[in-house]
Amino acid sequence: MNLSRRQILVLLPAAAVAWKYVLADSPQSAPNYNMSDHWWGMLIDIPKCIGCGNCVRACKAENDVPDGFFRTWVERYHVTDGNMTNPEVISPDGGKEGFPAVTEDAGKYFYVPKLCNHCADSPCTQVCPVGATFVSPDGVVLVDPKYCLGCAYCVQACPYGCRYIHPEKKVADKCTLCYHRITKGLTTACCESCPTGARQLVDLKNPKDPIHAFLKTHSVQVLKPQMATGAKVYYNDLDGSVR
Amino acid sequence: MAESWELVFMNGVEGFMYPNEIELHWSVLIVLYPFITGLVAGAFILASLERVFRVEAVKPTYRLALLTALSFLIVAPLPLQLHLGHPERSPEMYFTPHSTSAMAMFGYVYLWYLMAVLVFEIWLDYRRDIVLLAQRSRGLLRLVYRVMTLGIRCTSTSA
Repeated sequence: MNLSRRQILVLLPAAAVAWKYVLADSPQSAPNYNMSDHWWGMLIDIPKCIGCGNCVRACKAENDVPDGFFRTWVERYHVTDGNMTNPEVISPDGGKEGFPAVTEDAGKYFYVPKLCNHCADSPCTQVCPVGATFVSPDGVVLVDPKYCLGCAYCVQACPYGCRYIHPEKKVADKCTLCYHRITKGLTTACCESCPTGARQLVDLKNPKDPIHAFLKTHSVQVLKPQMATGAKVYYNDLDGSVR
Repeated sequence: MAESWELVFMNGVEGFMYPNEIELHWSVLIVLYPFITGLVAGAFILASLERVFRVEAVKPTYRLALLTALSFLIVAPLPLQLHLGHPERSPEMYFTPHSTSAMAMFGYVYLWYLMAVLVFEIWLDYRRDIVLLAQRSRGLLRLVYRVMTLGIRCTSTSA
């Protein structure tokens, strides 16, 4: 086969693109789960959270979260009367072992569990240089650990501080909304372990999901609404002092 | 947990950081990069002063300034590569870029700057020297220089 230089210059990049296709393979088939039927979110009921830290421990156990990093964590706010703009916030080891006893009686205390908000318009997916992090068709923000460079741009971009670089795998990591569980009809590890039902997985596309009735009768907010991220973790009775 | 001396202000909250943000991921290695590209920019301005703005006083520095800019530009990605968790995957930024990412798009700007501005400008200025070197050297080096001259052997000023 006698190829001219021009033909080689055209064939070589075409071959490279074709090779990428071969390497990429086709997605794993999942006959029992249809992505377009779901739009996942979470509902967190602030008055119900008691700060036990079950969710943090369950997530760590379920997802092998490394020490010192958190896919979900709990913060305790202490807001004194007339000082809503300067709350005192603590999160000892992410709230994993619960919280120390309250020393001051003045003001109010409440717990805010936080996790990845699985934003519909997420800043983290926008900044990834290779597209390793993406929003799945069912609304879950995921990271492809085989493609991630570990540049930590997404970690910087996330306004909620929910991402980290895995110390061993050296890729970006975060809450996956227990994707391996919710696609099988289970709920997330944190929701499963919550003793008071403060955390509930919701499927906004499912007409039978109780979230629809809940949204009609309660006042819900998202964290940092000014960032317009399309966050899908809804908080019931979120205090204005929460940052 | 965050010690009280870590007075990080989060919209009025004192002494608290999100637990995942306690470990800084973008630190000194990232800072080195704008420092080095700053040196590149400075060197390139010096070279441009001579060529574009015709400042005679800096004429002797033209080649050195261009070579300085090129050498720093080649070295500048090194701290970034060291910072990456998977530096072997970094070419993927060029092969499969994510168009909304500033980092990916700037990679192309950087490449354009490296190739078009510096390498091309240096090649243009050294054309006569490369022809002379091609005539004087032997073996593989001679072949390298011959390729760089694109086969031309004339050293007149009009060539």
